[in-house]
Amino acid sequence: MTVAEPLDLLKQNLDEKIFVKLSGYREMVGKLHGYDSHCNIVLGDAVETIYSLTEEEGKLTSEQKNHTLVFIRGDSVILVTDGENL
Amino acid sequence: MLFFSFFKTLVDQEITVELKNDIQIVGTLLSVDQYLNLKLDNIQVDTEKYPQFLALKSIFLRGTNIRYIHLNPSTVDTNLLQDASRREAMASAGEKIAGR
Amino acid sequence: MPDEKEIQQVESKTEEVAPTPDITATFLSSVTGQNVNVKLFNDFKYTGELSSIDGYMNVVLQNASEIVNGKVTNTYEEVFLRGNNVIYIGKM
Repeated sequence: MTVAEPLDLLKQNLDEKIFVKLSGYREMVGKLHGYDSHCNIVLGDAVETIYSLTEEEGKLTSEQKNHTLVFIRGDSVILVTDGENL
Repeated sequence: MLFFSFFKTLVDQEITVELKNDIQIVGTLLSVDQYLNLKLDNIQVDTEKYPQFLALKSIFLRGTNIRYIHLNPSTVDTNLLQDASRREAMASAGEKIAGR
Repeated sequence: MPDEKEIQQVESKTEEVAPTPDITATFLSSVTGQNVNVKLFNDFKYTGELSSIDGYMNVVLQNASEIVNGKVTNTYEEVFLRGNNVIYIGKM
């Protein structure tokens, strides 16, 4: 019995919006254009969210950036899931 | 090897590299290797913030330090990239079974 | 020219090396389809049904809950976890 590979989740989501959680309290949502077995990823029309705690109060804040086309190095990737609803 | 080939097509293009330590480097891609180490020319860095880059024009950048590479959409055929990813996935799946 | 005895010795040596990959394969197939806890290096815990797993410990969980500091912070219908971040995968 051949079990599907985990990376098939990425293959299924080519040309679809995905959500990627990265190290350093970062998240990316964008259209998956390319990937490889290292989880190197190319996203189109991506929105990056960077979370941080304010120095004084320790409040959770976030900053957002837009990227028309970005290559993400796989070693930063923690998780990948569908991003259609985001 | 997919992204090695991909970046080879971007040689002579201007790219922006964001490192894991937040430094952003704009430069012309001179060459790339299989580890995605890069050689960049005519680099521009915020030298007020990072004066250590003032004297540098061309650099070898070790790939492990890279977080993102920002690309110019006009230099990339996304459909081609998608097809290449599908083919690479099939190829590596085949290899895994063969390796057993 | 190697005689039959030498050939047999070499063959038995290669047989001694083979069992290790089989143990990994046995674990991987025994845990697929089960409800599992996956703990990552950043102390995030994911519980869900293990849909697939590969030799690098890359994992796909279905109907997964993300637990941080004992609280459920997110749920995912289908989530891919990169193997290098995994500390352990445990059956529930």
